[in-house]
Amino acid sequence: MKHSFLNMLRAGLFFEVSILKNNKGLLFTLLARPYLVLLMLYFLYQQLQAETSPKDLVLLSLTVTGSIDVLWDIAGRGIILRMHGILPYYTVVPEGLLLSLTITFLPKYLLENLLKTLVFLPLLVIYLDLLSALEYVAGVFFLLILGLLPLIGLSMLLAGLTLMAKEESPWLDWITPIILLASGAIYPLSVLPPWLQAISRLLPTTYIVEAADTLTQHLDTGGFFTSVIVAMMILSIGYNIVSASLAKRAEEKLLVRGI
Amino acid sequence: MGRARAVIWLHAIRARRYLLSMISNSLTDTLWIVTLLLGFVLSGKTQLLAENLLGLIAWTIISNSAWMISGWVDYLGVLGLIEEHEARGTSVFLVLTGRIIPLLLSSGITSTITLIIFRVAGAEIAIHYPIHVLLTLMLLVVQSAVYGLLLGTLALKTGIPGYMFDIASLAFLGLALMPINEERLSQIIFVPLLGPLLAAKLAGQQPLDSHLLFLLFLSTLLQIPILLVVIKKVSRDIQKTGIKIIGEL
Repeated sequence: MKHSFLNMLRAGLFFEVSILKNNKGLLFTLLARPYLVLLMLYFLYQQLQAETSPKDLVLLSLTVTGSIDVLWDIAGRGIILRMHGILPYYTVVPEGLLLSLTITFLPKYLLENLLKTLVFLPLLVIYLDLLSALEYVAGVFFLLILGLLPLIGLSMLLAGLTLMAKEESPWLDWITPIILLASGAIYPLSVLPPWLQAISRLLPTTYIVEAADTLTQHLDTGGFFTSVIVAMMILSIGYNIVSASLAKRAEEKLLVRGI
Repeated sequence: MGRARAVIWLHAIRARRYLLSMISNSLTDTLWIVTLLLGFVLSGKTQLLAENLLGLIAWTIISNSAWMISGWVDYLGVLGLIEEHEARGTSVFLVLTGRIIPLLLSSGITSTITLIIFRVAGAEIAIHYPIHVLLTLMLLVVQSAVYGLLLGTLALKTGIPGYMFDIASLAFLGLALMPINEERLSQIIFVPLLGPLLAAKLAGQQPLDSHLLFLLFLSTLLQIPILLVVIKKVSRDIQKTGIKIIGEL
Protein backbone atom coordinates (compact mmCIF):
# COMPACT_ATOMS: atom_id res chain seq x y z
CA MET A 1 0.00 0.00 0.00
CA LYS A 2 2.80 2.39 1.00
CA HIS A 3 4.63 1.59 -2.19
CA SER A 4 1.50 2.24 -4.21
CA PHE A 5 1.01 5.69 -2.61
CA LEU A 6 4.57 6.59 -3.50
CA ASN A 7 4.12 5.41 -7.05
CA MET A 8 1.02 7.53 -7.42
CA LEU A 9 2.85 10.57 -6.06
CA ARG A 10 5.71 9.93 -8.48
CA ALA A 11 3.29 9.50 -11.37
CA GLY A 12 1.56 12.77 -10.48
CA LEU A 13 4.89 14.59 -10.27
CA PHE A 14 6.11 13.12 -13.55
CA PHE A 15 2.88 14.13 -15.27
CA GLU A 16 3.00 17.70 -13.96
CA VAL A 17 6.67 18.22 -14.76
CA SER A 18 6.19 16.82 -18.27
CA ILE A 19 3.22 19.07 -18.93
CA LEU A 20 5.08 22.19 -17.79
CA LYS A 21 8.32 21.24 -19.49
CA ASN A 22 6.64 20.68 -22.83
CA ASN A 23 4.27 23.60 -22.66
CA LYS A 24 6.12 26.83 -21.95
CA GLY A 25 3.04 28.90 -22.68
CA LEU A 26 1.17 27.06 -19.93
CA LEU A 27 4.03 27.69 -17.54
CA PHE A 28 3.98 31.38 -18.40
CA THR A 29 0.22 31.72 -17.85
CA LEU A 30 0.53 29.78 -14.60
CA LEU A 31 3.13 32.22 -13.33
CA ALA A 32 1.29 35.30 -14.58
CA ARG A 33 -1.98 34.35 -12.88
CA PRO A 34 -1.02 35.20 -9.27
CA TYR A 35 0.21 38.63 -10.37
CA LEU A 36 -3.13 39.34 -12.03
CA VAL A 37 -5.00 38.25 -8.91
CA LEU A 38 -2.72 40.60 -6.97
CA LEU A 39 -3.57 43.40 -9.40
CA MET A 40 -7.28 42.73 -8.91
CA LEU A 41 -6.92 42.84 -5.11
CA TYR A 42 -4.84 45.99 -5.33
CA PHE A 43 -7.63 47.73 -7.29
CA LEU A 44 -10.23 46.47 -4.82
CA TYR A 45 -8.40 47.71 -1.72
CA GLN A 46 -7.58 50.99 -3.43
CA GLN A 47 -11.29 51.55 -4.02
CA LEU A 48 -12.03 50.67 -0.43
CA GLN A 49 -9.16 52.93 0.69
CA ALA A 50 -8.02 50.09 2.93
CA GLU A 51 -4.41 49.97 4.00
CA THR A 52 -2.55 46.96 2.65
CA SER A 53 1.10 46.15 2.18
CA PRO A 54 2.55 44.26 -0.81
CA LYS A 55 3.14 41.37 1.61
CA ASP A 56 -0.58 41.24 2.45
CA LEU A 57 -1.49 41.26 -1.21
CA VAL A 58 1.01 38.52 -2.07
CA LEU A 59 -0.32 36.34 0.72
CA LEU A 60 -3.93 36.94 -0.21
CA SER A 61 -3.31 36.28 -3.93
CA LEU A 62 -1.71 32.94 -3.13
CA THR A 63 -4.45 32.00 -0.67
CA VAL A 64 -7.15 32.82 -3.22
CA THR A 65 -5.52 30.97 -6.13
CA GLY A 66 -4.47 28.02 -3.94
CA SER A 67 -7.91 27.43 -2.44
CA ILE A 68 -9.68 27.79 -5.79
CA ASP A 69 -7.28 25.29 -7.36
CA VAL A 70 -7.57 22.63 -4.67
CA LEU A 71 -11.36 22.55 -4.74
CA TRP A 72 -11.56 22.71 -8.51
CA ASP A 73 -8.68 20.61 -9.80
CA ILE A 74 -9.41 17.21 -8.27
CA ALA A 75 -13.00 17.17 -9.49
CA GLY A 76 -11.95 18.81 -12.76
CA ARG A 77 -9.34 16.16 -13.39
CA GLY A 78 -11.94 13.45 -12.74
CA ILE A 79 -14.14 14.96 -15.44
CA ILE A 80 -11.35 15.26 -17.99
CA LEU A 81 -10.17 11.69 -17.31
CA ARG A 82 -13.70 10.49 -17.84
CA MET A 83 -13.79 12.29 -21.18
CA HIS A 84 -10.49 10.64 -22.15
CA GLY A 85 -11.94 7.27 -21.16
CA ILE A 86 -9.18 6.73 -18.57
CA LEU A 87 -11.32 7.06 -15.45
CA PRO A 88 -12.41 3.39 -15.40
CA TYR A 89 -8.75 2.45 -14.84
CA TYR A 90 -8.78 4.52 -11.65
CA THR A 91 -11.64 2.43 -10.31
CA VAL A 92 -9.45 -0.67 -10.17
CA VAL A 93 -6.65 1.03 -8.19
CA PRO A 94 -6.55 -0.60 -4.70
CA GLU A 95 -6.72 2.78 -2.93
CA GLY A 96 -9.95 3.66 -4.70
CA LEU A 97 -10.97 6.16 -7.30
CA LEU A 98 -11.26 9.36 -5.26
CA LEU A 99 -8.16 8.79 -3.16
CA SER A 100 -6.13 8.07 -6.29
CA LEU A 101 -7.40 11.26 -7.92
CA THR A 102 -6.42 13.18 -4.79
CA ILE A 103 -2.98 11.66 -4.34
CA THR A 104 -2.00 12.16 -7.97
CA PHE A 105 -3.14 15.79 -7.62
CA LEU A 106 -0.86 16.53 -4.63
CA PRO A 107 2.40 16.94 -6.61
CA LYS A 108 0.61 19.36 -8.94
CA TYR A 109 -0.59 21.41 -5.99
CA LEU A 110 2.81 21.46 -4.32
CA LEU A 111 4.78 22.22 -7.48
CA GLU A 112 2.41 24.87 -8.78
CA ASN A 113 2.19 26.60 -5.41
CA LEU A 114 5.95 26.53 -5.05
CA LEU A 115 6.28 28.19 -8.47
CA LYS A 116 3.53 30.68 -7.72
CA THR A 117 5.14 31.59 -4.40
CA LEU A 118 8.59 31.94 -5.94
CA VAL A 119 7.27 34.14 -8.70
CA PHE A 120 6.56 36.82 -6.10
CA LEU A 121 10.16 36.82 -4.92
CA PRO A 122 11.26 39.65 -7.28
CA LEU A 123 8.35 41.79 -6.06
CA LEU A 124 9.10 41.11 -2.40
CA VAL A 125 12.79 41.88 -2.86
CA ILE A 126 11.82 45.46 -3.76
CA TYR A 127 10.29 45.92 -0.29
CA LEU A 128 12.39 43.53 1.81
CA ASP A 129 15.98 42.39 1.77
CA LEU A 130 16.62 39.10 -0.02
CA LEU A 131 16.91 37.00 3.14
CA SER A 132 13.67 38.34 4.63
CA ALA A 133 11.93 37.86 1.28
CA LEU A 134 13.13 34.26 1.13
CA GLU A 135 12.02 33.66 4.71
CA TYR A 136 8.61 35.12 3.93
CA VAL A 137 8.22 33.03 0.78
CA ALA A 138 9.17 29.88 2.70
CA GLY A 139 6.68 30.73 5.46
CA VAL A 140 3.87 31.36 2.99
CA PHE A 141 4.61 28.13 1.14
CA PHE A 142 4.50 26.22 4.44
CA LEU A 143 1.12 27.78 5.22
CA LEU A 144 -0.19 26.88 1.78
CA ILE A 145 0.73 23.25 2.41
CA LEU A 146 -0.96 23.39 5.81
CA GLY A 147 -3.97 25.07 4.23
CA LEU A 148 -4.34 22.15 1.85
CA LEU A 149 -4.81 19.59 4.64
CA PRO A 150 -8.35 20.50 5.71
CA LEU A 151 -9.46 20.83 2.11
CA ILE A 152 -8.32 17.39 0.97
CA GLY A 153 -11.36 15.48 2.25
CA LEU A 154 -13.68 18.21 1.00
CA SER A 155 -12.08 18.08 -2.45
CA MET A 156 -12.52 14.30 -2.57
CA LEU A 157 -16.17 14.66 -1.64
CA LEU A 158 -16.63 17.38 -4.25
CA ALA A 159 -15.01 15.17 -6.89
CA GLY A 160 -17.27 12.24 -5.95
CA LEU A 161 -20.42 14.35 -6.07
CA THR A 162 -19.38 15.95 -9.37
CA LEU A 163 -18.75 12.57 -10.98
CA MET A 164 -22.03 11.24 -9.60
CA ALA A 165 -23.94 14.18 -11.02
CA LYS A 166 -22.43 13.50 -14.47
CA GLU A 167 -21.86 17.21 -14.96
CA GLU A 168 -19.31 18.87 -17.25
CA SER A 169 -17.71 20.99 -14.53
CA PRO A 170 -17.36 20.81 -10.73
CA TRP A 171 -20.71 21.99 -9.38
CA LEU A 172 -19.83 22.78 -5.77
CA ASP A 173 -17.00 25.24 -6.30
CA TRP A 174 -19.11 28.05 -4.83
CA ILE A 175 -17.88 26.73 -1.48
CA THR A 176 -14.55 28.48 -2.17
CA PRO A 177 -15.68 32.12 -1.82
CA ILE A 178 -17.72 31.19 1.27
CA ILE A 179 -14.68 29.56 2.91
CA LEU A 180 -12.42 32.49 2.00
CA LEU A 181 -14.90 35.04 3.31
CA ALA A 182 -15.68 33.20 6.53
CA SER A 183 -12.00 32.51 7.20
CA GLY A 184 -11.18 36.19 7.23
CA ALA A 185 -8.96 35.81 4.17
CA ILE A 186 -10.54 38.71 2.32
CA TYR A 187 -11.76 40.99 5.12
CA PRO A 188 -10.64 40.95 8.76
CA LEU A 189 -12.86 38.77 10.94
CA SER A 190 -13.53 41.70 13.27
CA VAL A 191 -15.65 43.47 10.64
CA LEU A 192 -17.79 40.42 9.86
CA PRO A 193 -21.16 39.84 11.58
CA PRO A 194 -20.97 37.91 14.90
CA TRP A 195 -22.70 34.80 13.47
CA LEU A 196 -20.11 34.61 10.70
CA GLN A 197 -17.32 35.06 13.23
CA ALA A 198 -18.73 32.12 15.20
CA ILE A 199 -18.74 29.94 12.07
CA SER A 200 -15.21 31.04 11.25
CA ARG A 201 -13.94 29.44 14.49
CA LEU A 202 -15.02 26.05 13.12
CA LEU A 203 -13.11 26.47 9.89
CA PRO A 204 -9.51 25.24 9.91
CA THR A 205 -8.63 27.79 7.25
CA THR A 206 -9.33 30.61 9.75
CA TYR A 207 -6.31 29.49 11.75
CA ILE A 208 -4.16 29.45 8.63
CA VAL A 209 -5.20 33.01 7.85
CA GLU A 210 -4.42 34.07 11.43
CA ALA A 211 -1.02 32.44 11.24
CA ALA A 212 -0.42 34.17 7.92
CA ASP A 213 -1.35 37.55 9.41
CA THR A 214 1.12 36.97 12.19
CA LEU A 215 3.76 36.08 9.66
CA THR A 216 3.08 39.31 7.76
CA GLN A 217 3.25 41.45 10.88
CA HIS A 218 6.55 39.97 12.10
CA LEU A 219 5.20 39.34 15.59
CA ASP A 220 7.04 37.25 18.15
CA THR A 221 5.10 34.11 17.59
CA GLY A 222 6.72 30.87 18.59
CA GLY A 223 3.95 29.78 21.01
CA PHE A 224 1.20 31.30 18.92
CA PHE A 225 2.22 29.39 15.81
CA THR A 226 2.35 26.13 17.72
CA SER A 227 -1.13 26.61 19.16
CA VAL A 228 -2.53 27.65 15.76
CA ILE A 229 -1.03 24.63 14.07
CA VAL A 230 -2.33 22.29 16.77
CA ALA A 231 -5.86 23.76 16.54
CA MET A 232 -5.71 23.58 12.78
CA MET A 233 -4.52 19.99 12.78
CA ILE A 234 -7.26 18.85 15.18
CA LEU A 235 -9.94 20.48 13.03
CA SER A 236 -8.34 19.15 9.84
CA ILE A 237 -8.37 15.61 11.14
CA GLY A 238 -12.01 15.96 12.21
CA TYR A 239 -13.01 17.45 8.85
CA ASN A 240 -11.13 14.89 6.84
CA ILE A 241 -12.56 11.94 8.76
CA VAL A 242 -16.11 13.18 8.16
CA SER A 243 -15.64 14.26 4.55
CA ALA A 244 -13.54 11.23 3.60
CA SER A 245 -16.19 8.85 4.94
CA LEU A 246 -18.84 10.76 2.98
CA ALA A 247 -16.59 10.62 -0.07
CA LYS A 248 -16.24 6.88 0.38
CA ARG A 249 -20.00 6.50 0.38
CA ALA A 250 -20.21 8.70 -2.70
CA GLU A 251 -17.59 6.50 -4.37
CA GLU A 252 -19.51 3.31 -3.59
CA LYS A 253 -22.65 4.78 -5.12
CA LEU A 254 -20.65 6.03 -8.08
CA LEU A 255 -19.26 2.58 -8.78
CA VAL A 256 -22.70 1.01 -8.55
CA ARG A 257 -24.22 3.60 -10.88
CA GLY A 258 -21.26 3.64 -13.25
CA ILE A 259 -18.91 6.45 -14.07
CA MET B 1 -28.74 28.63 -41.84
CA GLY B 2 -29.35 24.95 -41.12
CA ARG B 3 -25.98 24.67 -39.38
CA ALA B 4 -26.61 27.77 -37.25
CA ARG B 5 -29.96 26.33 -36.16
CA ALA B 6 -28.28 23.04 -35.27
CA VAL B 7 -25.69 24.90 -33.18
CA ILE B 8 -28.41 26.85 -31.35
CA TRP B 9 -30.28 23.61 -30.71
CA LEU B 10 -27.07 21.95 -29.46
CA HIS B 11 -26.32 24.65 -26.91
CA ALA B 12 -29.92 25.02 -25.82
CA ILE B 13 -30.19 21.30 -25.13
CA ARG B 14 -26.78 21.23 -23.42
CA ALA B 15 -27.82 24.14 -21.22
CA ARG B 16 -30.72 22.02 -20.00
CA ARG B 17 -28.62 18.87 -19.61
CA TYR B 18 -25.88 20.64 -17.65
CA LEU B 19 -28.17 22.96 -15.71
CA LEU B 20 -26.49 22.08 -12.41
CA SER B 21 -23.06 23.16 -13.73
CA MET B 22 -24.53 26.41 -15.00
CA ILE B 23 -26.34 27.23 -11.77
CA SER B 24 -23.18 26.39 -9.84
CA ASN B 25 -21.16 28.70 -12.06
CA SER B 26 -23.71 31.49 -11.54
CA LEU B 27 -23.74 30.91 -7.80
CA THR B 28 -19.94 31.08 -7.67
CA ASP B 29 -19.95 34.36 -9.61
CA THR B 30 -22.71 35.68 -7.34
CA LEU B 31 -20.78 34.84 -4.20
CA TRP B 32 -17.63 36.52 -5.50
CA ILE B 33 -19.67 39.62 -6.39
CA VAL B 34 -21.35 39.66 -2.98
CA THR B 35 -18.00 39.13 -1.26
CA LEU B 36 -16.37 42.01 -3.13
CA LEU B 37 -19.34 44.33 -2.64
CA LEU B 38 -19.45 43.47 1.02
CA GLY B 39 -16.25 45.46 1.31
CA PHE B 40 -18.17 48.61 0.33
CA VAL B 41 -20.86 47.87 2.91
CA LEU B 42 -18.33 47.14 5.64
CA SER B 43 -16.33 50.28 4.91
CA GLY B 44 -19.51 52.42 4.90
CA LYS B 45 -19.29 53.28 1.18
CA THR B 46 -22.79 52.07 0.37
CA GLN B 47 -23.27 54.90 -2.15
CA LEU B 48 -20.79 53.06 -4.40
CA LEU B 49 -22.73 49.82 -4.21
CA ALA B 50 -25.03 50.25 -7.23
CA GLU B 51 -22.39 51.33 -9.75
CA ASN B 52 -19.93 48.66 -8.66
CA LEU B 53 -22.63 46.01 -8.76
CA LEU B 54 -23.25 46.90 -12.38
CA GLY B 55 -19.51 46.84 -13.09
CA LEU B 56 -19.20 43.38 -11.57
CA ILE B 57 -22.23 42.00 -13.40
CA ALA B 58 -20.67 43.29 -16.62
CA TRP B 59 -17.44 41.60 -15.57
CA THR B 60 -19.18 38.20 -15.37
CA ILE B 61 -19.86 38.50 -19.11
CA ILE B 62 -16.12 38.94 -19.80
CA SER B 63 -15.11 36.23 -17.38
CA ASN B 64 -17.67 33.76 -18.69
CA SER B 65 -16.66 34.43 -22.27
CA ALA B 66 -13.13 33.29 -21.46
CA TRP B 67 -14.31 30.31 -19.49
CA MET B 68 -17.38 29.26 -21.44
CA ILE B 69 -16.13 29.95 -24.97
CA SER B 70 -12.36 29.48 -25.00
CA GLY B 71 -12.31 27.05 -22.05
CA TRP B 72 -14.91 24.93 -23.81
CA VAL B 73 -12.51 24.33 -26.72
CA ASP B 74 -10.72 21.89 -24.40
CA TYR B 75 -13.91 19.91 -24.11
CA LEU B 76 -14.30 19.68 -27.87
CA GLY B 77 -10.62 18.83 -28.26
CA VAL B 78 -10.64 16.04 -25.69
CA LEU B 79 -13.70 14.46 -27.24
CA GLY B 80 -12.14 14.66 -30.71
CA LEU B 81 -15.06 16.73 -31.95
CA ILE B 82 -13.03 19.53 -33.54
CA GLU B 83 -11.91 17.37 -36.43
CA GLU B 84 -15.35 15.79 -36.58
CA HIS B 85 -17.02 19.18 -37.06
CA GLU B 86 -14.44 20.34 -39.59
CA ALA B 87 -14.78 17.10 -41.56
CA ARG B 88 -18.53 17.60 -41.75
CA GLY B 89 -18.13 21.18 -42.98
CA THR B 90 -19.21 22.92 -39.77
CA SER B 91 -16.72 25.47 -38.51
CA VAL B 92 -15.66 24.81 -34.95
CA PHE B 93 -15.84 28.58 -34.44
CA LEU B 94 -19.54 28.55 -35.29
CA VAL B 95 -20.03 25.91 -32.60
CA LEU B 96 -18.04 28.06 -30.17
CA THR B 97 -20.06 31.18 -31.05
CA GLY B 98 -23.13 29.28 -29.90
CA ARG B 99 -21.65 29.28 -26.41
CA ILE B 100 -23.06 32.80 -26.13
CA ILE B 101 -26.30 31.04 -25.15
CA PRO B 102 -25.01 29.51 -21.87
CA LEU B 103 -22.92 32.65 -21.30
CA LEU B 104 -26.02 34.86 -21.35
CA LEU B 105 -28.02 32.40 -19.28
CA SER B 106 -25.28 32.16 -16.65
CA SER B 107 -24.76 35.93 -16.40
CA GLY B 108 -28.53 36.40 -16.33
CA ILE B 109 -28.93 33.99 -13.41
CA THR B 110 -26.00 35.67 -11.60
CA SER B 111 -27.51 39.14 -12.03
CA THR B 112 -30.93 37.98 -10.84
CA ILE B 113 -29.64 36.19 -7.73
CA THR B 114 -27.30 39.10 -6.85
CA LEU B 115 -30.06 41.68 -7.17
CA ILE B 116 -32.39 39.51 -5.06
CA ILE B 117 -29.73 39.16 -2.34
CA PHE B 118 -29.13 42.92 -2.15
CA ARG B 119 -32.86 43.73 -2.29
CA VAL B 120 -33.55 41.28 0.52
CA ALA B 121 -30.68 42.82 2.50
CA GLY B 122 -32.39 46.20 2.08
CA ALA B 123 -29.80 47.82 -0.19
CA GLU B 124 -30.94 50.58 -2.53
CA ILE B 125 -29.87 49.44 -6.00
CA ALA B 126 -31.17 51.93 -8.53
CA ILE B 127 -30.28 51.72 -12.22
CA HIS B 128 -31.18 55.12 -13.64
CA TYR B 129 -30.75 54.63 -17.38
CA PRO B 130 -31.66 51.00 -18.14
CA ILE B 131 -31.77 51.49 -21.93
CA HIS B 132 -28.17 52.77 -21.96
CA VAL B 133 -27.12 49.98 -19.63
CA LEU B 134 -28.74 47.43 -21.91
CA LEU B 135 -27.09 48.90 -25.02
CA THR B 136 -23.63 48.91 -23.47
CA LEU B 137 -24.12 45.38 -22.12
CA MET B 138 -25.13 44.17 -25.58
CA LEU B 139 -21.96 45.67 -27.05
CA LEU B 140 -20.01 44.08 -24.21
CA VAL B 141 -21.50 40.68 -25.07
CA VAL B 142 -20.33 41.09 -28.69
CA GLN B 143 -16.82 42.18 -27.61
CA SER B 144 -16.67 39.35 -25.07
CA ALA B 145 -17.64 36.82 -27.73
CA VAL B 146 -14.84 38.20 -29.93
CA TYR B 147 -12.46 37.92 -26.96
CA GLY B 148 -13.56 34.36 -26.14
CA LEU B 149 -13.21 33.26 -29.75
CA LEU B 150 -9.76 34.84 -30.07
CA LEU B 151 -8.66 32.99 -26.92
CA GLY B 152 -10.18 29.84 -28.40
CA THR B 153 -8.06 30.22 -31.53
CA LEU B 154 -5.00 30.64 -29.29
CA ALA B 155 -5.89 27.48 -27.36
CA LEU B 156 -6.15 25.57 -30.63
CA LYS B 157 -2.81 26.86 -31.85
CA THR B 158 -0.70 26.68 -28.70
CA GLY B 159 -1.89 23.77 -26.62
CA ILE B 160 -2.41 25.98 -23.58
CA PRO B 161 -5.73 25.04 -21.96
CA GLY B 162 -8.30 27.64 -22.97
CA TYR B 163 -9.28 28.42 -19.41
CA MET B 164 -5.71 29.41 -18.55
CA PHE B 165 -6.12 32.38 -20.86
CA ASP B 166 -8.78 33.79 -18.58
CA ILE B 167 -5.97 35.27 -16.51
CA ALA B 168 -6.70 38.65 -18.10
CA SER B 169 -10.26 38.53 -16.81
CA LEU B 170 -8.86 38.59 -13.28
CA ALA B 171 -7.29 41.96 -14.02
CA PHE B 172 -10.60 43.10 -15.50
CA LEU B 173 -12.21 42.23 -12.17
CA GLY B 174 -10.02 44.83 -10.51
CA LEU B 175 -10.60 47.31 -13.32
CA ALA B 176 -14.36 46.82 -13.00
CA LEU B 177 -14.09 48.41 -9.58
CA MET B 178 -12.26 51.55 -10.68
CA PRO B 179 -14.10 54.88 -10.43
CA ILE B 180 -15.39 56.17 -13.75
CA ASN B 181 -16.64 59.45 -15.15
CA GLU B 182 -17.48 60.62 -18.66
CA GLU B 183 -14.06 62.17 -19.27
CA ARG B 184 -12.17 59.04 -18.29
CA LEU B 185 -14.57 56.89 -20.27
CA SER B 186 -13.92 58.89 -23.44
CA GLN B 187 -10.19 58.15 -23.01
CA ILE B 188 -10.65 54.39 -22.80
CA ILE B 189 -13.70 53.88 -24.97
CA PHE B 190 -11.66 52.09 -27.66
CA VAL B 191 -9.99 49.71 -25.21
CA PRO B 192 -11.58 46.31 -25.94
CA LEU B 193 -13.85 45.04 -23.14
CA LEU B 194 -12.85 47.77 -20.72
CA GLY B 195 -14.69 50.42 -22.75
CA PRO B 196 -18.13 48.76 -22.69
CA LEU B 197 -17.59 47.42 -19.15
CA LEU B 198 -17.03 50.87 -17.69
CA ALA B 199 -19.64 52.39 -19.99
CA ALA B 200 -22.22 49.99 -18.54
CA LYS B 201 -21.09 50.96 -15.06
CA LEU B 202 -21.43 54.66 -15.80
CA ALA B 203 -24.75 54.22 -17.62
CA GLY B 204 -26.30 53.02 -14.39
CA GLN B 205 -25.70 56.45 -12.89
CA GLN B 206 -26.00 58.95 -15.74
CA PRO B 207 -27.07 59.01 -19.39
CA LEU B 208 -24.27 58.35 -21.83
CA ASP B 209 -23.46 60.88 -24.49
CA SER B 210 -24.61 59.66 -27.93
CA HIS B 211 -21.13 60.43 -29.26
CA LEU B 212 -19.65 57.96 -26.74
CA LEU B 213 -22.23 55.33 -27.62
CA PHE B 214 -21.39 55.74 -31.30
CA LEU B 215 -17.64 55.33 -30.59
CA LEU B 216 -18.37 52.24 -28.54
CA PHE B 217 -20.46 50.80 -31.37
CA LEU B 218 -17.67 51.62 -33.84
CA SER B 219 -14.95 50.00 -31.73
CA THR B 220 -17.10 46.86 -31.41
CA LEU B 221 -17.72 46.78 -35.13
CA LEU B 222 -14.00 47.12 -35.89
CA GLN B 223 -13.15 44.06 -33.82
CA ILE B 224 -15.30 41.74 -35.92
CA PRO B 225 -13.21 41.82 -39.16
CA ILE B 226 -10.04 41.27 -37.08
CA LEU B 227 -11.64 38.18 -35.56
CA LEU B 228 -12.77 36.90 -38.95
CA VAL B 229 -9.24 37.25 -40.37
CA VAL B 230 -7.76 35.36 -37.39
CA ILE B 231 -10.41 32.64 -37.65
CA LYS B 232 -9.77 32.23 -41.36
CA LYS B 233 -6.04 31.89 -40.80
CA VAL B 234 -6.37 29.45 -37.90
CA SER B 235 -8.96 27.36 -39.77
CA ARG B 236 -6.53 27.07 -42.67
CA ASP B 237 -3.71 26.12 -40.30
CA ILE B 238 -5.85 23.49 -38.59
CA GLN B 239 -6.62 21.87 -41.91
CA LYS B 240 -2.92 21.82 -42.79
CA THR B 241 -1.17 20.99 -39.52
CA GLY B 242 -3.92 19.87 -37.16
CA ILE B 243 -4.68 21.18 -33.69
CA LYS B 244 -2.29 21.46 -30.78
CA ILE B 245 -4.90 21.47 -28.04
CA ILE B 246 -4.24 19.07 -25.17
CA GLY B 247 -7.33 19.68 -23.05
CA GLU B 248 -5.57 19.33 -19.71
CA LEU B 249 -7.48 20.64 -16.71
